[in-house]
Amino acid sequence: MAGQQRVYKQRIKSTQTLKKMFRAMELIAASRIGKARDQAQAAAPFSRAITRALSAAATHASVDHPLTSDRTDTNRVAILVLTADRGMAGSYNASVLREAERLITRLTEEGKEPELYVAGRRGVGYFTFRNRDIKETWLGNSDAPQLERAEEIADTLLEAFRAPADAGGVSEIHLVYTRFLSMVTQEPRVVRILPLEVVDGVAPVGEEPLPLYDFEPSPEVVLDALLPRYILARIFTALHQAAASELASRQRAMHTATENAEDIIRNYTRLANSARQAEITQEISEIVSGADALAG
Amino acid sequence: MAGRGELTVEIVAPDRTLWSGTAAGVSVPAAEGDMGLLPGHESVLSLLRAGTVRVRSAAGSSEEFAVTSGFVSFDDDAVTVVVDSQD
Repeated sequence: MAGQQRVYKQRIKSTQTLKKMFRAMELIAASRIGKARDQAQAAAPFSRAITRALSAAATHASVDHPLTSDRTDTNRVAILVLTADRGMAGSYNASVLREAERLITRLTEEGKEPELYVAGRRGVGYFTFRNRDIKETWLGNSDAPQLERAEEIADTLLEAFRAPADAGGVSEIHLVYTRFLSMVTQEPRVVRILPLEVVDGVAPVGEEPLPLYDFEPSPEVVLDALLPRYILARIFTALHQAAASELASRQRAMHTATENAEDIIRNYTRLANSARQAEITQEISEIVSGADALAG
Repeated sequence: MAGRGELTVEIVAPDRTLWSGTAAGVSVPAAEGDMGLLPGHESVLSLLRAGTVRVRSAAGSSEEFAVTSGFVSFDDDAVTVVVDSQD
């Protein structure tokens, strides 16, 4: 009987340790979200300025830019998947990877050959385990994106897009990431970032008409310089969104885990109490019956 | 549209806003020679070469930012200078 009590006590203790860990991770995620949002906000003016300038340049320049025209010389397409470096974030990684798989299937059905570019250890682990070829990976800092990382990714993808067909060039670039809608809602999204759809993809809806700019040196040159920066801004924004989503998912997952741990502790405490009570009752009845036997 | 007032200036890098506020004039190292921007200037979108962006406030003080590349857009007395990452 005493054994039973000990088992319950042990379980309570180990669950309490786990609970502390879950709680700590929840708090860490919560405090990092604030930072991630600040970073995203700090990067927003850049992205806004680029988008606006690009819309203006695109309406003036002839749109026959290599980055906006479709390539027909190769079937290869690049897919950039943004995942987290760590798990413990509920369905965050699973849903973005599911979306990526769906995209791969769709593109393969269209007769294209998807090539994978993966950011985040989880995604890399997923695809390596399934023996898929990965062209390029980026690991670390998935919850605190750095500008250098965005630049690396943008450079790699632009290079692949500009490369000739026989040097491994790709005709399209798709991006799979998780969009941060609110603390409770994040949705995996698929967007095509290259070739750009300048006409309707860039111009923000509901803004005042774009001014007639003077371009220096010329609209074409300006457009040429803006497009790579626009790609960089898109990727940087996606990294920020993914980071905020990851942290929000992790916070929620850890919150649920903490609550589950509390439930378990409560249950085991009840069981331990009744085990203790049963033991006491038994001891009393043993003493009483012993005394009765002696008195009799 | 083009009032004789102040300029709203925003200088942004990819990961943060370097400076924002109002100014009396801004001079930027545009691709084809330095360009001075005053209130009422024509809308312009220009690339930048390496040089210094100067922001003069109405009080006469000035701020300077070294840039290596980027672009400037000017419209309706709002100046946006976008600089590439600096190191």
